[in-house]
Amino acid sequence: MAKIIEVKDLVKHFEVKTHMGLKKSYVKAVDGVSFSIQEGETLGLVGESGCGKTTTGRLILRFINPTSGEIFLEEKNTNNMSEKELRLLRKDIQVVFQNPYSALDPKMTIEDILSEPLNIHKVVFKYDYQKEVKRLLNLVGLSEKDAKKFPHEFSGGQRQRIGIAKAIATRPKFIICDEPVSALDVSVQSQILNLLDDLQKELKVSYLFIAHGLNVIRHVSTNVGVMYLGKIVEYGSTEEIFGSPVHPYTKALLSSAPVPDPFNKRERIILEGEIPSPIYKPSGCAFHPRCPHAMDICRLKQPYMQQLSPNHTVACHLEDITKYFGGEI
Amino acid sequence: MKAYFNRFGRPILSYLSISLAFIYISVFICTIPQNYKIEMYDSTEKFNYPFIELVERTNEKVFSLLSLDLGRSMTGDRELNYLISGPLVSTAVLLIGGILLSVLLGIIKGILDSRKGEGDGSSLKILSTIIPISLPDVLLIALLQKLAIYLSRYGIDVFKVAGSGTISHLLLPWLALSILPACYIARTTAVSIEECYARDFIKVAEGKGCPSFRILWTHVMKNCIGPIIGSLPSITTILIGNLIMVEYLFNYPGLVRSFFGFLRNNDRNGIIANIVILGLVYFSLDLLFKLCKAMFVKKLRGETV
Repeated sequence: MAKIIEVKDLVKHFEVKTHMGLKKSYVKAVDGVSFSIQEGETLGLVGESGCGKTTTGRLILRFINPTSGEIFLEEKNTNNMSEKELRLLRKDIQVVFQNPYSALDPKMTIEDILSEPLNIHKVVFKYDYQKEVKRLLNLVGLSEKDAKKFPHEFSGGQRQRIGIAKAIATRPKFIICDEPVSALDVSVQSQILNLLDDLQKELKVSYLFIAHGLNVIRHVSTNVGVMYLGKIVEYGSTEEIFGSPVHPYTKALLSSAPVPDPFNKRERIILEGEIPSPIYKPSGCAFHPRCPHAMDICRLKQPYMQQLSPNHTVACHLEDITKYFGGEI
Repeated sequence: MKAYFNRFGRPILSYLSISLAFIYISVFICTIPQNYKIEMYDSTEKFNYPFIELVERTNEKVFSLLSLDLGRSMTGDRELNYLISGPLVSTAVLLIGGILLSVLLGIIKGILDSRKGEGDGSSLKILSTIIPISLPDVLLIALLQKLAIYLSRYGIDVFKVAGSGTISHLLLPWLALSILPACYIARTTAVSIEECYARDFIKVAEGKGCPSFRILWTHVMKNCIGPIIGSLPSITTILIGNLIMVEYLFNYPGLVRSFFGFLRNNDRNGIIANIVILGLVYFSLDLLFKLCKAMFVKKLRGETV
């Protein structure tokens, strides 16, 4: 399968002024993220709030420019693209936002919302706009009659369906789903997830699925990246990440997810302390102040990604030591 | 039906009742004779002019005004309807031009002032809007007149410093009348635009591949026009306050100049008619802006989530 998107060592540091605007500091929102997504695959990006998941998505969309690093869409580097080229790029990369209530222009009818990308990217002939809008609405399970309505006439789930219809209107190759079900009821969540799944099978589209709900990630993802303070600390197939997690943070994260089985007594790993500031990140491994297995080396040296299996990598000194000295994790 | 009454009927009814109260109080005050005295003897008041007669005279005058008869001037015994219609038309031309120019300038300046979703500051742009607000009208008008004189020295006679009769005579008064309201509109526009750019649907539009100009006009301005129109009632007071200075300093033959003419001649009927007309102009403008606001607020209510 061909790589749709490839991200290499992506970095985004936001400048903040402290001490009456005299001293500059940097929020290291994304700090060296690398991954790739194959055609028809879904990469789930999971982590705590503020770990840089959404910023990664926005960097790929080029809503914000990266500090360094490269993003390739079908082997085309998006870094050197002009404004016009970037606008054309939007045809292939689309986004579904978290909040369906604010993602639709309240002054436009659904027909206008859906025909706008058709018009910009000349996806179909002008005469076929209405037909295409109807097709898109049917595809996401809405009625043709809804085309003339305004967004406020729909429920949250219906609005998210419209958001998805808008995203697939340009027939993109890649869609970033930025917590698309977080603002919805649980019953509606499953409908939207199934819809995304059906569309993927039908349109062969790839997803970057950003979420903090582990169950959602498990349901939709082919591969999973676990992020902590702007870095991917563990990356692997969904089975490997959920079946045999290695990084202490991944283990803690998975242990925090509730299991709908009262007889399943699991060991709950409770992380101590607060998430460090992304401005003043701890030296060495950023997770070491909260890690129950922290060692001296963790405070001094930053761990690098190491391959555990063909599709499983982790950035942890503990794994390094157990690998070379044969100890138990 | 009830919704329509709430949106349009209420402002119109409140306009009518406030206007009536304003007319009555103005006429009553102007009817009081100059030598009117209230003296107290053994805890009882004594008026040198019967109070009931004052009320009767006021009622008579108000009924005459309500039948659209302003009466006759005390100096020259001419019909006030005829005397005031000319200045009223001149003031209306000045006001309409001033409002249109202030809305146009305000929106353009507001768009330029806003950061349009960019992170960089625009302190200098904001300052250029706030400085004119803090300047007194007199100084602003004097500066404009000075500019006109300076330009005419170099043969540019587009602006006339004072008087009336041609469009050139109107240009400076229009500009002087519109600068201050334009600055207020510019602030509202800039704030609304910035709020709008922070909303997700703008990111969605950007994600669709919309060019920045299309985002501004199709998505941002469509959503900002409500708050901008909503801010218009607040500029009515500024407009009418400015109108007095502008007409006086540019020697413009509007309602203010005619008012000062009646004042000089101590023509009470003329003064009453002028005050009532000026007041009605103020209330009509306010009502117009409020009705426009009511029309646009309708949809916003439905959009609330």
